[in-house]
Amino acid sequence: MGKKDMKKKRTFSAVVIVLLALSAIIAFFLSPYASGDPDGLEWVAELGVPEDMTFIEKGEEAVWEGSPLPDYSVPALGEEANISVMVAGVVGTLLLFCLGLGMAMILKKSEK
Amino acid sequence: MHIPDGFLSTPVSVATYAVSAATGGLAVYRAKKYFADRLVPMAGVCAAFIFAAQMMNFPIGGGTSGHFLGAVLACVLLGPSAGFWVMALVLTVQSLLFADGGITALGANVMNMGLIGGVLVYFILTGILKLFPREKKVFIGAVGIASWLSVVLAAAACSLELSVSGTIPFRIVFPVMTTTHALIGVGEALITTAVTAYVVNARPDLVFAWSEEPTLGMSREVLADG
Repeated sequence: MGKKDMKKKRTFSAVVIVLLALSAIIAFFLSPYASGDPDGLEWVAELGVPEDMTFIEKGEEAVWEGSPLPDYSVPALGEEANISVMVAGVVGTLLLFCLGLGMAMILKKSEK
Repeated sequence: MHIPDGFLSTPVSVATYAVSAATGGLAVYRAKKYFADRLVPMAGVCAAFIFAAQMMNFPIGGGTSGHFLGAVLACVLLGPSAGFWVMALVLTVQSLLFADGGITALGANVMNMGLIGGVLVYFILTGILKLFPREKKVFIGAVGIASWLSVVLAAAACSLELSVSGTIPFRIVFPVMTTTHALIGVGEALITTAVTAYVVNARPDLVFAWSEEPTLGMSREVLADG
């Protein structure tokens, strides 16, 4: 492995680590500061259309209520507690890192 | 703009599931041809970053918030095939584990945010990039604009599905959805531009659209230092 390859390898790990660390920091430390206002679609469904046309109520019943971390919270830690959203965020982030890796290994170019 | 259960009619749910499934199949086929080994860790990072960043709702005024979408970022970094699948993965996990986005609306959410906001905009982006000189500044700027467009187009598709479902007339929902998301798209463009600029400067060969996109003539080994 030449010097250039070594440098490439280092910057490669750096990019992966920087972006992954950034994701974990956002999910754990910043998630409690996310805006609680309704998002674009929720706002439109509730307030953005004439009063007799609101449709937010149509979305109130989920087909399946078994999500383990509903609304980005850990039920055992309380629905509103900061720690609840922090833990849910970091669990989801790490899980998606692993699932994304696994999926990409299946999708990658077949060796010639 | 994750659509919950109950907003869409059954025919719209079924049709959008079919479109997303067909796109998914085609994306597997294309990824097997174009998705390079060295981008595998980036797919994990991308999925993690999009999930985390989507949690950060930012206020856009008037009591409304928006959050990052990430579809253009995923397609630019990983190519449209793996990018589509990363979006589908994030949306599926959000729907099943976090009750964000209905299970019956998952097909529509993947279609809006993966196919239309991701793959379609990626092809528009690369089509336009062909007309410009190959410069990083041009590339980064174009990616930023594309990411803004992606949020607006996904919102437009969402409006269409809601109106075809009979939930709300198109002429009512389309203007509010697109103008709201035109604002949210500004946040999208800032985040997408920053991350793309960072990666394309640190490791240009980790950016699929810069280093591998076949239609942009990247076969001329201009990778690592380009």
